Amino acid sequence: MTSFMCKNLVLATLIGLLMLYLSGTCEAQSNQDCCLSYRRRKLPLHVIKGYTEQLSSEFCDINAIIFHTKRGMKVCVNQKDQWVKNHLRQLSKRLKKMSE
Amino acid sequence: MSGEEPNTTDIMYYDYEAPCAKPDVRNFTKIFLPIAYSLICVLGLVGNLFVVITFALYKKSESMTDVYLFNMAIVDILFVLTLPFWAVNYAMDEWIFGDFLCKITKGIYAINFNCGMLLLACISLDRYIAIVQATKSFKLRAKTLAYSKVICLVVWVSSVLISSSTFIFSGSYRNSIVLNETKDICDHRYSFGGTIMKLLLLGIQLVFGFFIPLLFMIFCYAFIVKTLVQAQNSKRNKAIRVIVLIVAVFLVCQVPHNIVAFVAAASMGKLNKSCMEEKQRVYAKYTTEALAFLHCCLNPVLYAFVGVKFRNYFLKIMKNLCCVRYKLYGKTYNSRISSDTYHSRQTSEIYD
Repeated sequence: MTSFMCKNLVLATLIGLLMLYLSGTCEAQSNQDCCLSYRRRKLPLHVIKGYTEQLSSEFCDINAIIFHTKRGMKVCVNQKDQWVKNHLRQLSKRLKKMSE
Repeated sequence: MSGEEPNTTDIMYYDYEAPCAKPDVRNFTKIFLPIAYSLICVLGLVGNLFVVITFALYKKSESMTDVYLFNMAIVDILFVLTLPFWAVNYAMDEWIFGDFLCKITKGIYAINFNCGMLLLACISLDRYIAIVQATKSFKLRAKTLAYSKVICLVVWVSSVLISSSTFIFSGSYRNSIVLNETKDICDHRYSFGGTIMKLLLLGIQLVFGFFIPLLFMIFCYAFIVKTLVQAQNSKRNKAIRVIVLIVAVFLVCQVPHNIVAFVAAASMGKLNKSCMEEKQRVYAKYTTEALAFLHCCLNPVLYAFVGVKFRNYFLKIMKNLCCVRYKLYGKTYNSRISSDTYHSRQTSEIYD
């Protein structure tokens, strides 16, 4: 009978430990703006003012690059697309020039 | 939104590209959450402080359930004390308390949310042993009561140690999406994994924070009700009603929140979600989360004040408080309760 009690206690403790270990809790700031999809079509470079990055390791779900246009629009794009890579390269060159 | 770009209107219909803007959601969280959190904080604080005071001053812990109840009240108090920070966070749409307090409040949230669930499971287990295994367990329960401090210490120390992962992965940081952002937010930030890490933690939270306690409660209380139905006891109907109430409140508070979390987990990392559905999910999330938080205000009512003995002690305290107020230098009250009525053991486990 003691073993029955011990078993229960051990079981309860083990389950407790597991539960606490995994206390991930998803109290994410879900009221913030996030990109949900990507624009596939190319955007002309001259309309882009700058860019920011959305990380899936933070409060948003997917990785994305956000191009900010001169008219104040935000455009979500995929950093894996070739044209996005090219644009990013051009933009960082532009930034370097500005800082020189 | 996309009308200004050089390209034509046909893009608008099948090439959504702007971030899903949620100013309306933020207007909702700015008003609803501070009010809800403040109410839950005040109610939870009052109810649980009464439980703690009553246990501390009068009621000797007679069973493991008493010890669990005492600990649950402390857990709930700690938890509701973090709610004002979140109320301010949502009211200002900004985390102003710095990195350390962000980690602390996130950490306490993590400990308490799951610790509360664990204690609920423990209580149902203890009652199961007491009632269904009544003949076997009489001496053993007394023995484990002696170790109750050790058991609770183990639970607390391990919970603090283990939720250190939340402590490590939380922090306040700038929202990197907005250009020249000046506001900070307090949230998780994983150094690796991203979506997989989030999905893992969400799934695990669902399983261990909901399904396992739920299974424990259903299993234990089903056997308890079965035993009570067979018992010849005048108070069994009330005991059964209390059990049904406990399970019903658990379900009403926790099921909606966990369904929303499940939906979120199922669609996490998926591309091309609709912005409107995403917003509806967020509204549902915040509303059901507040409902889940409300559970910790109801715990004192469901577990402690339902008990006849507990209510008597509580009334005694209130009476003494009034006496202190009216006769400041009057004679001191003898706080001892003269006689403990001895109820039948089986039903007294539920509501005494």
